Amino acid sequence: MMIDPEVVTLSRLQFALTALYHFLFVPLTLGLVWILAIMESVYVMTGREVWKRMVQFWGVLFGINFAMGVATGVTMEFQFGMNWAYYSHYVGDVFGTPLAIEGLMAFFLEGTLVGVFFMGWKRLSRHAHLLVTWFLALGTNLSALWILIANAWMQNPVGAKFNPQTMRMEVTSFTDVLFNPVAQAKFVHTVSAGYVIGSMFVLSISAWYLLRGRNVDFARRSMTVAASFGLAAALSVVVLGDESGYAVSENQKMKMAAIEAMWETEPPPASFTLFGIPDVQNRTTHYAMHIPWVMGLIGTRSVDKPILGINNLVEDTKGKIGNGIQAYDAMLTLRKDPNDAQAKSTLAQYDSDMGYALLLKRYVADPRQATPSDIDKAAASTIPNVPVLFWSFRIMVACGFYFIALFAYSFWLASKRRLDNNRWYLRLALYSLPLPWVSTELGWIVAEYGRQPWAIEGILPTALGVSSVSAGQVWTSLSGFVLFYSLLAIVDAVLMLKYARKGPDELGIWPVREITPPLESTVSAH
Amino acid sequence: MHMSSETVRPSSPRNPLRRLSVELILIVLAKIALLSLIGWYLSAHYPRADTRPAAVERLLAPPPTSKPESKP
Repeated sequence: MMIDPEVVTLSRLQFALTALYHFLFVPLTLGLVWILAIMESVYVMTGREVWKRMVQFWGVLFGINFAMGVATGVTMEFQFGMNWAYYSHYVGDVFGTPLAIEGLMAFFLEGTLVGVFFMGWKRLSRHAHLLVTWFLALGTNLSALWILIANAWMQNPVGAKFNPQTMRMEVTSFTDVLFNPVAQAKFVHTVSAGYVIGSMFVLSISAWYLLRGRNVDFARRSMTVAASFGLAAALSVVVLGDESGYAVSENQKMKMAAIEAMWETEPPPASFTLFGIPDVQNRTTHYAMHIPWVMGLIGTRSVDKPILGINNLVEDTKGKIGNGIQAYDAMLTLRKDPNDAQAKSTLAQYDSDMGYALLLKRYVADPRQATPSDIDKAAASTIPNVPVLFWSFRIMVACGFYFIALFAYSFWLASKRRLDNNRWYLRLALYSLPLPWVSTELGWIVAEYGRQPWAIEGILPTALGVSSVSAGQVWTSLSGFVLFYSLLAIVDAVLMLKYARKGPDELGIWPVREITPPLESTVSAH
Repeated sequence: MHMSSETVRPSSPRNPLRRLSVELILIVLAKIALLSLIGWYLSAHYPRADTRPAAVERLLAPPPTSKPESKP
C-alpha cells in the first residue's frame, strides 16, 4: 500500500484548521466561566444586585461563545474515523478512552449545567444557582483535562504497549496514562491560558464602555475582577509554561532543540537564544543573541546537564532506526510464529524504537531493506520546521510577559480607583483583545507542529496514520469545513460585536444607565 | 471624578435576550444540519475508508513481493 503524500498533507491541514478554529472558542469558555463563578460568589456573599447583573451580562456573551463553539470540536473526532482510520486503529484503544470519558463525564455535565445556568435564575435559590455555576466551571475544565490527557499521550505515550498479534497499541496502565506528567503540565498551562483569555475579554470590552462613558460602574467592577483574575492567570501561564517546557525537554528533545534552533549541543548550562534567524539549509542560526544559563535551567533544572542539539539528535535517531529495524523484523517473525523465543526477546528489547523503523516507510516499502541513505533521510525527517517553532514560541512568550505587565498595571489602577480616567491605558486594554488568542494558537502550533513527523511520539509516524481515502475526498471535506467554519466565524463575530455593543444597559440587564461625557470626546476636545 | 446619572429603562418592546436565545438555538440546529450534510455528501459520493485490521497490517508490514535478502 503506497502512502499518498497529498492525502497526508491535506488530512493534516484539515485537522490543523479545525483544531485551531475550535480553540478560538474553548479558552474563552474556560476562562469566562470562572469569572462568572467569582462574580456570582460575590453576589451571594454580599447580596448586592449589581454582581448578579454582571453575571447575567457576561453570561450572555459566554452563551454566544458556547453556542458558536459547540460541535466545532466534534468534526475533529469525525476526522479520526474519516481521515485518520489507521491512526484510530493503531492507538484507538488508548487514545479513545480519555475522549470517551470527556464526552460522557465532562461534556454532559457542562452541557446540562449550561442550560440550568441560563434557565435557573428564577427557578433556583441563590445558593443552588451558585453551585450550578461552580459545577459548570468544573465541567468545562474537566472537559479540557480529558482532552489534554489524550493529547499528552500523543506527546509522551506512557502506559501502553505494542501487541504484535493485534498490530496495535494496548493499554497496560491506565493510571500511567492518567497521571502522565506531560498531561499535568499541559493541563495547567492550557487552562491558565484560557483564564488569561477570559480576563482579557472582560477587560477589553469593559475598557470600551469606559472610553464611551457607558455602564461606568458596571465596567469598573468588571475590570477590577478581570485585572485580579488576569494577573494571577498571566503569572500562572508563564510559570506553568516553564513546567511544560521542562516536560518537553524531558520527552521531546528534538522539539525543544527546534524551538531553540539549537543545532549543536552546548556545554552545560545551555544559553537561551533570545533572538536569531535560523538557517535550515546550513543548520545554523544567524545574529543569535544568547542569554547565558537560562535554557539549561529551564530545560534541565540544573547547571550541569546538557541540552542536546539537533545534529546530535539526528545521529541518535539513526541508532534508534537500527534498533527499530530489529524490532520490526522480530514483530514480523512473531506474526508467523508467536512462540519464537528469540523474536520475543528482541522485540522486548527494542520495541520502544519500532516506530523509528516505520519512519523508513516513506522511503522504502520494507524497512529491513533500507539503505544507509534511506536511514539518513528518515533520521533527517525527524527535524520539525525550525523557523516556525522558533518564532511561534518567542511571540507566544513575549505575549505572556506583556499580559503580566498589562494585568499588573490594571490591578494597580484598580486598587487606586483610577481605571476610568486614563485614555491611553483604556485604548491599550481594548486593542490587546486579540493577543491572547494569537499566543494560544501559536502555543498549539509549537506543541503540534513541533511533534512532527510523529502522530504518536516515537511510535507512529503521521504519514502512516491516514486512511485509504483519495485526495479528492479530503479536498471535499476540507472545502466543506472551511466554508462552513468561515460562515460560522462571521456569524460569531457579528453576534459578539452586536451584543457587546448593546451592553448591559440596552439589553435591559443594567437598570441604571450613567450618562457621563464620553472620555474620548472629552480628551479630544482639549 | 464626578458623574451625573439618570435612570433609563430599556425602551425596546421586544426582549433582545429572548431573540438571542432563539437565534442561538437556530444556529446550533443549522450547524448540526450542515455538518450532517457534509458527512452525508462524503459517505454518499466516495468509497468508505478501508479500516479493517487487515488493511493496517498491510500498511505496516511489508508487501508480499518484498525480499529481505535483497538488502545491499
